[in-house]
Amino acid sequence: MFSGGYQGKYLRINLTNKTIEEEKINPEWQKKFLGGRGLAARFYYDEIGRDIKPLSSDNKLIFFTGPLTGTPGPATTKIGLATKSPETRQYLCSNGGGFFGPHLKKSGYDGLIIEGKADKPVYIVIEDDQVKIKNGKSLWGKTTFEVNKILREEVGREDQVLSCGPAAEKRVRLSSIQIGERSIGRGGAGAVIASKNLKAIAVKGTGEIPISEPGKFREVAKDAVPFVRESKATHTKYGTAQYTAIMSELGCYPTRNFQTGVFDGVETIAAEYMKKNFFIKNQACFRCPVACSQLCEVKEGVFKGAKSDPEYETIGTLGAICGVSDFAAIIKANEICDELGIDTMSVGVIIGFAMELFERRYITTKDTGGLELKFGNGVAMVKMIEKIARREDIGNLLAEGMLGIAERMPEMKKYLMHVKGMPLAAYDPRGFYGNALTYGTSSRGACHNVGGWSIRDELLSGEYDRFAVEGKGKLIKSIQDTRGYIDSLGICTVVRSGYGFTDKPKGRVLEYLTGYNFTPELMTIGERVYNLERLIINREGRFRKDDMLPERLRTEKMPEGQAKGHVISDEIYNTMLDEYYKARGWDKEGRPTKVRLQKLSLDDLI
Amino acid sequence: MKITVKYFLDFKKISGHSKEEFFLENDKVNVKDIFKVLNEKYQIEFEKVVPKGIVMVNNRSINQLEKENTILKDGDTVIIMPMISGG
Repeated sequence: MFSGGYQGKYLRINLTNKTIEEEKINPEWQKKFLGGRGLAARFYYDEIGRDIKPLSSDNKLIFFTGPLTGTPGPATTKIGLATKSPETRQYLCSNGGGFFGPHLKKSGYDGLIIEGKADKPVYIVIEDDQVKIKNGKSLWGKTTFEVNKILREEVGREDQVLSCGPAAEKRVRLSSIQIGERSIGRGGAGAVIASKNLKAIAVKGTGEIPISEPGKFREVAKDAVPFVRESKATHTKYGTAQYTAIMSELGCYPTRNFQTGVFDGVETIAAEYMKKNFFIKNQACFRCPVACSQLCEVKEGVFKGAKSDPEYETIGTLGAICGVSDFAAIIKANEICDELGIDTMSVGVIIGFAMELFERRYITTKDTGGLELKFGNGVAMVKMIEKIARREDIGNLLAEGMLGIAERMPEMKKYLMHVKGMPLAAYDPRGFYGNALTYGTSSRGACHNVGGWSIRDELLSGEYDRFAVEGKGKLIKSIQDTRGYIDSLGICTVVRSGYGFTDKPKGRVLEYLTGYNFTPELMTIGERVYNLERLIINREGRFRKDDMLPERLRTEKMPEGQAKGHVISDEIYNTMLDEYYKARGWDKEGRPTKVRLQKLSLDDLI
Repeated sequence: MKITVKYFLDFKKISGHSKEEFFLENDKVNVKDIFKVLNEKYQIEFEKVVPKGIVMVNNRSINQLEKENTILKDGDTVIIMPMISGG
């Protein structure tokens, strides 16, 4: 069916039996779900049932590249992951950049499924068709930086290595997987890897990726580069940190655990300040002309020597949400998170919650191991991350994630900022109403990306006022469907428009790559992926009741700034949600209807 | 009338300010008029800003108002920032 873009097979590694199998991929599935997030979700649907516990040996890690991964186009870097999340206890999709995905594909595999559990620590090395499960005893207990450095010797680059850190070994439910300095951050997948006694996977691929019409493909891919460079020049200059001061001005920058949307300390965590005082160099993922990662270093003070590349969400969660205006503390916190293997976003929101409890005196220094865990205390924030990683003091409870905390402290639920167990990102929906649906209906819990990043459309479009209710359901559906296919292609979303991948896809790049004209079907594929994910989370018990927002956003008016006085009341939210379900063809409880599933050729799953 | 202009990122660099106040004698002023002042002072031209940037009056983009003809009132704030595109 395809004459390029796919290798047509994946690796299935069972750690219990130590078996390594090559299996063929049904090309009909690739036609329907592309690859990456979509294809991984399709395998998840068949292989990870409702009752499988996230940290049990029955859970699986399903990695898939997309057709563009590893090809000579801009930012063809991504690999998608589906697994049952220890943090949200439901379906998780996540993805990562770096060089891991491209090298897996060049090894001859579109994907990799890890199942079972090794009886002792192991790591996996894939070198083209040579796949080995090796003794990982000497790696166990080491940080991701140490592991990646050691395994670099075997494969070439640190970002060809995917590993988990000490936090994952302690089953911290916010654990990330690191690919060099890039992260598969959200949802705690690091703990899933560690629960299988698997420390790392290193890959080196030297083969070719077939391309249907190489000359034409290269020409189109080459043409995309100058457009991407020019249109993303601000990303190159400032990274995603460019939005920090802007979001505070817009009044939607969550501050001190979402108590307000304007951060009075924003100046010293904004992009210009970062650039002037901490920036060292840009870093790029595989074949990326943008290189948005801004490597920073602390040159003096208590955090001297710390190095990391904080992005907008990290700065927002470890900065404003924790009331921290010391950028050096954010660099250090980011570094520790990467090193120990923790999601910067989840940990930032959870520490913001703990800081609010501390200030309200629900917890004291007895709980925090002596830390004055007040808003703005960057040193305490950094130390609390270490405590979470080691499960010390209250860090042991915080390591359980939002759902675990809610079970143990039900009276504190009103201060927990999450949907379906996933902590919110660094946008407050009281400043952009569509963002409320983004968080509420995202397949993996409150995610600004999977749920549909609506800020630009709500700010700029003449059609959708940021504080309007009507039209938001339709808007969010469209953004989610767009993202659904983008995440399935194997490229970074930052460069998508260079290829013509918008809500009105155009161009022939996929035809030249695969020999099949995917372009007219892309939005349908995105919608299909979203509905498949909804079927999965319905099966896992998530319905309308789980699409609701945290109490604070529903009941407390924004106290200041551009969104002053706004609140996402139940009436507002339910009106938007009804419109969204209708646009999706779902019933009142948020279940896809038979008619819509048939329309999307998902009727085999009914 | 008093109009405050706030600049972000590249526009902050060009103007050398994050915030600036303008006192205009004319009572009927629109967005285009304030850009005439900005063009004279910093060569920030409306036509060049708009395709690649965002102009707001108070808490709304001018796209959601009357675009360059949006009338400004005494005390209004005009915000100029580069285009945002997620990531």
